[in-house]
Amino acid sequence: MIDHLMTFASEAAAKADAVVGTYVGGDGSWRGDICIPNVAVTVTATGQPFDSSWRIVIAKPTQDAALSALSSCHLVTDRDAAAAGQSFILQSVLSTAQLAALTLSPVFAGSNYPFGNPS
Amino acid sequence: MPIALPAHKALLLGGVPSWVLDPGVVPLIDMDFRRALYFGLTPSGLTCTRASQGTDLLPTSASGASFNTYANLIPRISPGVGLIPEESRTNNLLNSTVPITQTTASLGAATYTLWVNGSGTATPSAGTATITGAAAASQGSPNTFTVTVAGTVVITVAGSLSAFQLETGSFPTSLIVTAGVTANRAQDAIMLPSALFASFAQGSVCLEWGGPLGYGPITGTRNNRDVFCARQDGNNQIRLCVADANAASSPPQGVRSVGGTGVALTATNPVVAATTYKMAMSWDAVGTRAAFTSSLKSGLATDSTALGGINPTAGIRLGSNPGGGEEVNEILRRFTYWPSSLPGAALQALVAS
Repeated sequence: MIDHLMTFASEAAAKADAVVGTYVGGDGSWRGDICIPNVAVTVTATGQPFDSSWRIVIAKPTQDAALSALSSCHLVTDRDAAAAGQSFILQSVLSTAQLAALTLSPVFAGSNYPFGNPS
Repeated sequence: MPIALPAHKALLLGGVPSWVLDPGVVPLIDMDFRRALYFGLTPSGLTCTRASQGTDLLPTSASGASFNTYANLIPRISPGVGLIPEESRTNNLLNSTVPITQTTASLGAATYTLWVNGSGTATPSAGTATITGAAAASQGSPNTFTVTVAGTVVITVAGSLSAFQLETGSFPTSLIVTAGVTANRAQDAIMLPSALFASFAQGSVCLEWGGPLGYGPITGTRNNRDVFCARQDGNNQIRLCVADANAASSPPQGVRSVGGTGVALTATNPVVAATTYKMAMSWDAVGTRAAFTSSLKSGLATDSTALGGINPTAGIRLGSNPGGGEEVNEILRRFTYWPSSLPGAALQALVAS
């Protein structure tokens, strides 16, 4: 699975986005099968929020070109590659060193990303 | 020259197994998830879009029970139990299969449920949060508490636990395995292949759900529990569901169809833990008829609204609504489908058997 971390000023802004907003179901909530809304990015050393942005992870079987092309797409990772110990960062606005200092939670169950995992 | 048969006719060439539900009409599909018996469609024909792993350790599983882990996109069919369609949840505890006392990250104001598997207890207490309703959770007895002011919560473990979970919501769901960060189990979202449902001019379904490990009553704001739903749009769907605690102005319902037509159930919150339920429904140009396990509703419910025009373009799901959410959050034991409309007496016989 490919995880796309999308970053917005607010949840309302995410829902208003022409691409990301399509992942809202008919009941007004995010698609529960492929989305994790309200993902927190914290500085691992301090436990403090990295910034005040609102984030959502959208998982797809392959990298989604429409999502990846958005300026709000801050990180794209290959979950299976990470689990296999291979290079897994497909796209990122942050450097590898920056990512190593951050914790992203929650993740999809079964993920084994090495960045930010304090255990 | 070989003769091409329609898929469902070809399946009949080997004969109809004796276990298939046959009220005088052979079904097109009979999936007995609990016993792993399949006629007309095997699990590989189901589509599951759950983007995470999942397990089959349930809040009602025995202490110390072993469990299976299911990969992304694989329906969770637990041997001897059934198909597990649940909503998305996050386990806020770390290292959930090696429970130790810990302090959560900041939890928002909401209702949370803590459950455990094992011979010990886990007890929530306020860290920096303000909470109400906290009590020890033990095997088979989850604790649902409310965070009224956001902040951290301390979970204190005593005794020997095999697993524990703290999730947002008023009821517990299956175990989400975590390691060093919190983890989310995505919604299962189980879809039937629309190609097998060439015509919805008429048809019948029968579903068996719950059972010994059934979760029981579920309350909360999202209270429609869809057992089966074939949806065209919000006003056109063939649907069997339980609405445990619908709006005060609306009675608890057992079936919704065109225009949200409902059938009043026997009790306000009729679903009981460890109980097996059956629901059957048929539809055609004359209308619909539905029968339920008698504790939900006795007799036959009929509606003269024709359903023949429905074209389930939004999808046909087991355990949730293609329009989003409304997960049954229960165990589906068996699904049977006929492409013809069964009479009411046959539906009543199906749910009574």
